[in-house]
Order: sequence, then C-alpha cells, then structure tokens
Amino acid sequence: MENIASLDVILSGVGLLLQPGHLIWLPLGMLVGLIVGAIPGFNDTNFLAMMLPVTVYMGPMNAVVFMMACFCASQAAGSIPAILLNIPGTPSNAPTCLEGFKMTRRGEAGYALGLSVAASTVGGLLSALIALVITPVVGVYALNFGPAELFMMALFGMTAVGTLTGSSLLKGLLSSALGLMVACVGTEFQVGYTRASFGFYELYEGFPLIPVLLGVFGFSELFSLVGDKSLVAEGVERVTGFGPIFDGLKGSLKQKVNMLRSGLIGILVGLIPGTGAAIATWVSYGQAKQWSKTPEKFGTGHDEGLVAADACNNGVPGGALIPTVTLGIPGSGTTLIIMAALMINGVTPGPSFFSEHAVEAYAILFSLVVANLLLLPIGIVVARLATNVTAVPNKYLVPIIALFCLVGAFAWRQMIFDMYLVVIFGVLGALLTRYGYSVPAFLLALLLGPLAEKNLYWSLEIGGMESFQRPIALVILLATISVLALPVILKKMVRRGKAALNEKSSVPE
Amino acid sequence: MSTQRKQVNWGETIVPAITLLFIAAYFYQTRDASAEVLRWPLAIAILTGILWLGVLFFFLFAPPAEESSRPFAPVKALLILLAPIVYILATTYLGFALASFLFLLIMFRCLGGISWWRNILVALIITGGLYFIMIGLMEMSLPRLDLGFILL
Repeated sequence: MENIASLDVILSGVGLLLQPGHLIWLPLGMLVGLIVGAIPGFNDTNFLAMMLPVTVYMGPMNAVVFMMACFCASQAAGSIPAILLNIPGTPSNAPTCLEGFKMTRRGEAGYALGLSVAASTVGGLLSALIALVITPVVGVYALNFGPAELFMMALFGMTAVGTLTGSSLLKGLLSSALGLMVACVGTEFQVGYTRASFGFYELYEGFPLIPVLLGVFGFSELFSLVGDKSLVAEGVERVTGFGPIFDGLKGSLKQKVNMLRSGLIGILVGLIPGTGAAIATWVSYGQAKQWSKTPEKFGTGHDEGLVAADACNNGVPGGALIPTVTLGIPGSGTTLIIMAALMINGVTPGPSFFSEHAVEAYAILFSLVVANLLLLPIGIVVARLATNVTAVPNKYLVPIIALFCLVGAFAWRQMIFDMYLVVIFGVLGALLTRYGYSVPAFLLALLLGPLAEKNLYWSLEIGGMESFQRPIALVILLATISVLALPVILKKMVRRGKAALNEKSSVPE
Repeated sequence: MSTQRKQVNWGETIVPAITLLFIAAYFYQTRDASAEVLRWPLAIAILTGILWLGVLFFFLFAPPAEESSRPFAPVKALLILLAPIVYILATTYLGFALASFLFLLIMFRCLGGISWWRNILVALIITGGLYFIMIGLMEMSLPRLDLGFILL
C-alpha cells in the first residue's frame, strides 16, 4: 500500500495523463459523449460497445481516457433533452425531467441548464477526487454486498419513492405496485418460465426500460404540449444568452450541501455493482426532498430537485470505477465496457491492478478529474446552443419530439415493437399524470422490481432470514426506517417549535 | 350538514380499471405456471389489490381534482395518438426515411404549419439528419425502401 500511495507514483500517473498523445483523447471523448448522451435512447454503453474494436488500435491508456471522458460527458448531456424536451437522454435523467422541463415551461431553460452543468461538474469532480483517494482502500468493502444487502438497497429505493408521491400516498403506492406488477412480465430466473409475455417474443425479457421511459416522459407530454403554441408557456418571456446559464451556475452555489450529499449518494450507489445511476438519481432526489425546507415545491420546477439529480448522476462514474479498477467487478454497463477495453489491450483490472499498474491506474483516475474540469466550459457552450430549442414553435417541435421518441426507442434494441410500446406507455403516462398518480414511483418500481425479486429469492435460499441480520443489511434497513420516520419526526419537531413560539408570544412581559 | 348527494367521479376509475385489466390478463396468461414461479407476482398482486381498494374508497366519490390550467386540445391529442401508429405501420412498407418525411410533413401541416415550403424543408433536414446518424453512422438495421436504383 505504501508503494501504491507514494507521491512519486501519483505524480507519475499525472505525468502519464498529461502527455499530449493521451491528453488529446479527453476533449474528444467529452465532445462525443455530449452528443451521444443528448440522443434519447442511445446511451454511452451502446456507443462505447461499438467503439470497443477500435480501442485495439488506440492502445489501453488512450482507449480508457477516451471512454472515461465519454462516460462522464454523456451522463451530464442526458440532462439537456430532459430539461428542454422532457425526454431523458439516459434512464438516470428521469428525475431531471420532473424539475427541468417545468423550468423550461417557465422560460428558465438557460437557468436550468446552468444549474445542471454546475451540479454535474461538482458531483463529478467530487466523485473523481474521492475515487482517487479511496479507491485502493474502499473497493474491498464492496465485496461484502450480497443478495440480502442488494434487496435492502431495493427496499431503500422503494421507500424513497414514498417521498416522491406528492399529496396522495395511496395513489403513489398504487403507482409503485403497478410498476412492480409490470416488472413481473418476462422470463423469470428460477425455472426460466416466461411470465405473461402476451404472445410477444419481444417481451421475453420483460418490458424494455428505454421505450417505457420515452413513453411515460417524452411522449406523454405531447398530449398537453400540442395545445400550446410554444415550449415556453404563453405570457412568459423567453430569456436567452449566457446570462441565465451563469445565473444557474451562481444559483447552484447556494446548494453546496445538496450537491455534496447528492454526489456522495452517487458514489455510494455507483460503488455497488449492479445498481447504477438510474437508481442513484431517484434515491438522491428523494433524499433532497426529505431534507428540503420547501418539499412542496418538488415536481414544480424546483432547483433543489434538479441539482440533486444531476450532482448524483455525475457522481456515479467515480463510484462505479472503484470496484472496476480494484476488484475487477464493473459497477455499471459502461464500466464493463471500459474494463473490456483494458482486457482487450492486455491489462486485467482486479485486486492486483494497483500493485502491478499503479501509474496507469492513477492516470485513469486523474483522467476522470480532468474530464470533470473540462465539463464546465464545454458544458456552458453546449447549454447556450441548446437553449435555442425553446424558440421553435410547438407545431414543429411536437412532431419532431414524437419522431425522436419513436426512433430513440427503436435504437435501443432495433425492434419496431418498441415503437408501439412508446405510444402505449405514453398514453399510460398521460393518464397517470392527469389523475394524480406518480410516474416516478411507477418507473422506480419497474426498475427495482427484478432486482428485489432476484435478491430476495437468493438471500432466502442461501442464508434464510439470517442473511438479513448481516451488519450492512441491518444498516440499510435502519436507513430505510429512518427515511420513513424522518418526515414524521421533522413535522412533529416543527409543530412543537411553533407551539413553543405561540406559548412564548402569549406570555405577557 | 351537507345534503348534497355524492357523485361518482368516473375519471378516477380509469387507472384502477387499467390496473385490474392488466392483473387479470397477467394471471390468465400465467394460468399454467407453477406456484413457485408465481409467488412474487402473487404477493405484488395482493398488495396492489389492497391499494386498489383504498384508492377507490377514497377517490371514487371525491370531488374531481381542479382542472389543469394548461389547454387540452382533444382533436390534436387524438392525432398525436393515431399518427405515430400509422407511422410505425407505414415504416415497414415505405422505409424509415420516406415514412419519417411524410409523418413530419403531414403532422406539421395538421398542427398549423401553413407554409408548405418551410414544412418540406424542416422535414427534409430532420429526416436527413436522423438518416445520417442512424443509418450512416450507427449502421442500424432500420426498414428501408428499395427503389431499384437507390435504397432509401
């Protein structure tokens, strides 16, 4: 460990990254990542998988630096269509849609994009720095996550949904239950029985996430957008230029704690293999709402929700990189591709990676830091160009969004069937929203359902009920209970404080 | 005390009805599955059932929620629902490029785009851009129309 963490080795890592031959791949990766991330339905995993054969010619260092930059930029770029068009660029940008698009409708697209760029940069930078410091040490603990802990994580995610359901808890819970039920479609893992595919082979693996997401978020919005003349609500002045973006950057500075907490959630969830940013951002969004002084503003275009989602989203790459580099266990689909790129080039990540390739390992971790630093200037320019979308009248925008949703769904698995799913889930999303049900609760349950089912089964098979008594599982259980209890306790404390204030003011001096 | 009779809020039955239909279809589809396979879905269905009853109990007779301030255009909404279905069907026969171009052109016109030239230009740019990205760069196997001398 002494050798690994010596200043000499660390500086050699920085030196290796700063060689022009390697460094040039960072801005290239950022640009490609920003473009790829902004295309709905086509994410960085797809793109990097396609790039995999090319990495043989790039060499391991260049390939990984390029991929890290691409990973980092695409996570941030997914927020652009989420804010401007209510289409999540990647599944993890779904919470951004909830707040960002409402801000766009209020004519605050630039401000929302500024907030997003700042939060993404801070979350990413925090995650990269923490990964840099703790990777050699912390990665080992990730091995202790078994099925019981993963089930508890899913349970924790479900509990976070309770904080997202708004005024009616019953409708929120029914949305979750419907999401869980929909998640039961497809081939189950115990005996390989295909549960309710309704005769469609396209549903053998269950409902695909991307078409469902594009339907309930992007397509469902068209039913109300079609009645308006432009994306920005009537009577609201559209503000363009760099001004609102810089206002957004300044606005994010008021939320240091929110960004810090969300970035840390991103790292922690990213650290656990098999979870990923799509779950992390919902957990972070829920936590931001619970700790907020104005929780009632969530879902109406609130800065705090947007900052929480985006800081967490970019916090995930650093977390996901830790088990990939130290244990050889990729924390997400994209890190799996990055790991494959290293292996193709004859470098095997794992417990011995740091001892055998310490300089290269630090260079990879530093590339994440530099990529996040570059995100700020590149992100501001891209955000400025992107705000022009709000000037397009709805008579042109609505058909274009519809086409993007349909084509984006096709791009995921290249199946025409997925286009129909967009329309079906678009109608469902519009109905859920119209009658006060929770679209986020539905989506989160759809996402966590298979994870919860598998891990509950495995933990019961392996260790019975005792497996839930392991320390990490118990800690997550306690966190879940506290998440449930916290709003009640806080409400009581506020009530008691107000009562005390009233008593005090009624006592004559 | 209010003497007003409680009225059924039919709108509140739509989502519960969809949920019920889905669960019924789900268990009809899996009627030959073993108990082991259905343990988890059954638990979820029971949970859903309890919540379903709760929602109906509390919301069926509740006064309808306040109307949204955002305008709702039923004819245009119907167009949004039907046009994509026609587009998906047409894609198989006309190919991605031609179907996308026609979809955009007709939708622009129906939603108020009066200038044909502008409609054609925007539709061409969007379709061309998508064609270049999806087929040119990503080499996706989208349905294409073979005209003999060109593959659109």
